[in-house]
Order: sequence, then structure tokens, then C-alpha cells
Amino acid sequence: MTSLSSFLLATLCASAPAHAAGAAHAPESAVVLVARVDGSVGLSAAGGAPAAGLGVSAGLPFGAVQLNADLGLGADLAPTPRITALLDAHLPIVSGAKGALSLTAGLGTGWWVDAPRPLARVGVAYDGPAPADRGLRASLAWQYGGGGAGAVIAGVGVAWRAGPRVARPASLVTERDPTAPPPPLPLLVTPAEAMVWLPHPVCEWVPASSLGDRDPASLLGVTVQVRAPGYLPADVTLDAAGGRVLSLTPAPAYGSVVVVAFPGDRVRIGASVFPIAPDGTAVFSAPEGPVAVEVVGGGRSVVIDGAVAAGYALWLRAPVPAPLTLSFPVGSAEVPADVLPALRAYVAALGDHQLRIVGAYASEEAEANRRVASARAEAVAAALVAAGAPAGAVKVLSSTKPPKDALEGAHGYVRVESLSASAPEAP
Amino acid sequence: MILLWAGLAHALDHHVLHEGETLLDVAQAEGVPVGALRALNRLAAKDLPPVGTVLLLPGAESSEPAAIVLSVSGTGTATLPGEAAVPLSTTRALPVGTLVCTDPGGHATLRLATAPHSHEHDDVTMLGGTCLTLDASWARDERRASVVSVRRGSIAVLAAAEGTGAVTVRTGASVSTSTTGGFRVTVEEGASRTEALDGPVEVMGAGAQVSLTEGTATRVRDGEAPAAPVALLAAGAPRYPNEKTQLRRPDFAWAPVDRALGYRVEIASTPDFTTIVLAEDVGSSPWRPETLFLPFDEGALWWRISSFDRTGFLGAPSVPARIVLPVGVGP
Repeated sequence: MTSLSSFLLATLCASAPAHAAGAAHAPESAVVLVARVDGSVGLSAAGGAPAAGLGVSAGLPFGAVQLNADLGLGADLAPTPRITALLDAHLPIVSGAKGALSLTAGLGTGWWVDAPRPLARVGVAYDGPAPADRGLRASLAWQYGGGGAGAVIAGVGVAWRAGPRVARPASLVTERDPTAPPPPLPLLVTPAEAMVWLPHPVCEWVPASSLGDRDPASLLGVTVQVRAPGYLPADVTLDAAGGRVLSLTPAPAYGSVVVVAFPGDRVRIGASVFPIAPDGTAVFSAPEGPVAVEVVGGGRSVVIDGAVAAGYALWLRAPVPAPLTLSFPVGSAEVPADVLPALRAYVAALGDHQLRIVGAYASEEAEANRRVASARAEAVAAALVAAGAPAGAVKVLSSTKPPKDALEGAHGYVRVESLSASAPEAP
Repeated sequence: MILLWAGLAHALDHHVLHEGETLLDVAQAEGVPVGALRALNRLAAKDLPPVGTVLLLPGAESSEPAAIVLSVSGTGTATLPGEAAVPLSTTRALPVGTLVCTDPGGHATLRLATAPHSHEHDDVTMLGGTCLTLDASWARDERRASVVSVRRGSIAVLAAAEGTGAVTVRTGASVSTSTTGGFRVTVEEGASRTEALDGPVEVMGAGAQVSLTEGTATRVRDGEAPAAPVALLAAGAPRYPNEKTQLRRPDFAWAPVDRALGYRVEIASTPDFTTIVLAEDVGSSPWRPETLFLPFDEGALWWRISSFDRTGFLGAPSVPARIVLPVGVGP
């Protein structure tokens, strides 16, 4: 029974009648139950005496028509009881805010005390404006009862409507003709001169402005590349997620920097370390603006300031690593304590340079001085390694007599110099 | 633009008074009354203009600007008559009377005597720190004539490939004129020097005239006659960089020139050196600048070398050598 009701209700919901108009939230496709009182007046001798009665009916909508099963119980003034049973149909002819007027027609049977009679009834029914589920029903009909008996029946009753309540949806607003072709994919690209690479099966660069000319469906889900001179590249997946404006980011203007240093140097800009070629140069690009290049190696750490301009190459030449000259007390081969900070600083800025250490000596008492010079060189080498220099990067050369003008009264010294300091030169 | 060009419609032809010429000779040769010539050049009846005087001639009107800016490297200014100075740019058309200056380190090349539908012209390259005034510039048919006054600095009048362009360069001390171009005029302290690089040049000063042949030069001190011509030094031959080696280390080397006191290294983005981007006077080969700043988006660069002698004369430049930028330099 439940499933039958559901079926009926579902069927009815699909064919909602209009006769219940007037109630903003009236049940749609409702079953209508009516309880009424009525009275009849015979129109002929065979029609019998005036009568009064009670009745109930149940109606179901079938499209615009409502079919009712009506059962009546009445008695005339005799009093003679009678029972009537009819099936009739209501066809709405007027429907509005003030109610609905329907034509009715029905067939049935009446049981009087004497014998059953066939009945036919035609008339009109009025369903007044009502609250959502209850309303007035008035009816007026002519009834033929067979044997030339006819009567006019007037009735008034209460109708209950029961059924699923369906809120009427808001009016559907359409902004465009649904038959019109769908709009182009809303991808707007700036600058307008950008080009878009459409992958397989198109495999073609097209102007971004021409995307709207293509079938949007063919572009959905496609990842395209967007490029424009002077702008950073961008990849975009086209989907139907709504309008999209792609503004390419202007690419920073770049210039080039050539750092001219020495093999073994380390070139840094901020936290970035750049590789250096065997000829001691490093080439890289940098955004337009000031640039500070730090060159470390050979015991020196220098910062070279420059300015990068778009479209220009800037060569910055690092100074030659200066040799470190250490003086010793006469006759001593012990590294003086006051030169140790200089050695440590030298090693800290050694980079990847290879070092050679030479002890120089005066020509007087040459052999003795040469031994002292060699011992000093070895001591300096040991001190450099102790300060952190790789042992393989330190090489002690044979001691040598210094140039006459180099001593200036000193008895000897040790020179620490980078092998790279004898600069690579252009051919 | 229309207003600007309308104001240029009074550029005049000119004539440089040479040795032995008189005003009457010029008037008869040009078909101009002597009185008109005197009036136009503000000469009194008793005035006897000396050799080297630039006489303006009436009638040679042109609707073209006196000059256009062919190239600018660095910065400079152009001061049009009655106007404030504006930055020098290649879109600039310059009328007669314009003062053009390059800032130190900047270079510019002006195209003089431009004529519509003509490929013939006269180009003048201004080195850094140069100021000149466009006195006259005129072109018609195959004839061209221009006069500029150099206030300071140095200019090079490029050799004219064809035609009969006459370019006259005035300084406070001298007047140099040539119909073939290819000469250089430099203003010095109390003097000016003229170097004939690619053709003959007439140099006048204090009523005297000296004819320079290609490869010679003269100096004219204020109020004095031009000195006797001297031979210019040969150019050094560029060795490095060249088209076979990348310019990784900015070391410029060339074959030294005997008796050269110094050299001028010039780098340009065109082989005709109308677009000089750097000019540096250096002592000897090699030249290893601490910093170097060159454009990489010009397509190519060339460099050349010229030699200074001990008296300051600068010889003709060498044949240009191509500069190959290192891999990694560029956009």
C-alpha cells in the first residue's frame, strides 16, 4: 500500500494539476477528500420528495481532471432512506486566486427502499480559495435517476487536500539564449602580443587573442604555454572553472657580468657561488642594478662593486693576490707570534690557491743563512697547515738570495705567494 | 614636427675663402652681388675677410634639418635655438644653430647635409666631452655643404664614400675644410689640431692656409698661422681580442708602433665606427682595464687602435678587429 501510494504520488508530482491554484504552498497533486451535506429537489413527479443527505468523496487527479468516488446517504420527507454511489469527474474550467470552477459529470447507482436505480449526474463544482490543505467545496448538479426521475442537488462541504508539499522553485533566470553556442574560454592574457603553445594534436604557437576562435571543448584540460618577449613564461591549464585573467609577470632586465680573477679564486654574490673557469674568469647574468662581487682566494678577500645594465656586459677585474712577506728575528727560524694572525687571515682567504713558500737570505755567511731561511720556510709552511691550509696546497721551494733592493737592511724574510698570482693573460 | 621642420627652411650654402680669393671672385662664381654677400655676412665695405672666412651664400634653402642624430652612446644634450637643452637622442632632428654636446664618456654621430631620397651624406662623430654648433648644412642634388663650430672636444668627419660633400669645421683657432671627409679636428688649450686621415684637408688660420695630405696633420695656435704639416704615426695592428678568441679577459693587445707615445683604443658596434661605445687613451700594449662595459645586444663589436706621437697628434685608426663575446654573455 505504501509503495502504491508512493507510486501514485510520484506519478502525480510528475503531472501537477493547476486546479489547486490559489494556495502558494498548496500540496501538489493532492488527494482530495470531501465531506458534505446536500439537499435535492425533485423536478418531476417521479423525482420524489425533497431530500437531504450527507456524503463523502475521495478524488485523485489525472492530469487536469480530478476523478472522484462519491458515496452519499440521504432520506426524503417520507422518510425514505437511500444510498447513492457514483464515480464522477471534475474538469476545471476557471482557475484563479479566487478559486476554481469545474464541470462535473458522473455515473453511479442509487439504492432506494424499493429497488436500485442507475444514476447520472452533471453539474458544476466550486473550490473556493483555501488555506494550504483545507477549503470549501460547493456543488450544484442535475441528477437523473431512471424512470423519468430527475432532481437538482446542491451540496456544500469541506475538502481536504493531502499530498507531498513541493515548494515552487524560484523563477529560472537565463542570461543568454540556451541555444546559442557556448562562449569562448574566458582566458585573457596580457600583454596582448603573447603567444600560446597548444600541445598535441595542435602543436602550434598561436596568438593569445585567437583562443576565443577555437572550440572551447577542445581546449578544456589542456595545459598551454604562454610566452611573450620581456615576460616570464607561464604554463596554464585551461578548464571551465570560470573567468581567468593571466597577466604575465615582466621579466627582470638582465645584464651580464664577467669576473676576471685567477684560478683558485672563489666568486660569490651574496650566498651564490659561481664556478670559475680555468682562465680565472666567471661569467653569469645578473638583474639590472648594483652588484657586489666578492672574490676570495690567494689570501685576499675583496668586494668589487659594479652596476649591471640590461643589454650590457660588465667586466670586473679582481686585484692580483699580493704575496705575504714575513720578517724574522736575526738567526731565528721560529715563526714570530705577532705574524700568526696574519697567517690565519691569509689561510682564511686562501680559496683553492696553491702556495709556494720561499725563504730568502742575505749573502753574508751564505750557507748559514740559507739553512736558517730554509728552516723559516718550513716553519711558515707548518704554521699555514696548522692554520687550516691543505697540506697539499703548500709547497716549500729552495731558499734563494733576495734581490739587492728587497732587503732594505733586513737579514732575511719568508715570502708566501700564490702560484696563480702570475696571472693568466690573454694570448 | 611640422613646426620644427618649418623652422629649418633657411639653411644656407657657404663658401670658405681660400688663399688668393677675393669677395668679388666668390660673388662672381656664385652669381651673387657683392653687396648682398657683404650684407649677408655683415661685412662693411672696407672689410677684407681673411683666408678661412666662411662666407654664407643666399638662396640655397632646404626643408631638411641641418643634422640628424645617427647614434648616441652614453649621454649628451641638444640645445635648439631659443630652447632649453634636451637629452640627445637618435630620434632628434637638429636645425641650424643647435648646440650639441656629449658628456664625458659619451659619443654621438651626427648625419649632416641630409637630403630626401639621397643616400649621400656627411657623418661627424663626436667623442666624449665635445660641444659643437651646427652653423650651416645644406644638400641639393649631388651637392652638400656643412659648417660646424667645435667649442671643445674632438670630432671626426668620416670619409665620404661618394659625392662632393664639403664639411668645414671651425674652432677658435682654425678653419678646416674638406670635400672628401676623413679628418679629425680637436680643440686643445689655446690651439686646435687637424689630422688628415683619409684625404686632403685645407687648414686656415690667421690668414694663412696649409694643405694637408692624407696621413699628415697640423696644429694652429690661437692667432697664429697653421704649423708646418707633420706626418702621422701608423696605426698599431690589433692582436687580441680577435674573431678567433673570446673576450673573456679584457686584455687588449696590439703591435706597438715605433715612436708612439700612446694609443687610442676605440670600440664600436659597427665596423664603420659611427657607433662608438668606448674610446680610451692608453699608454701601451696591452691595455688591461679594471672594468669594461660593453653592449652585448648590438649584434657585434669591433675595436681599432690609433697611435699618438709625442706632440699629441693622433694617427689614422687601424683596420677594425672583431670582438667575440664570451659564451654566457647575452640575453
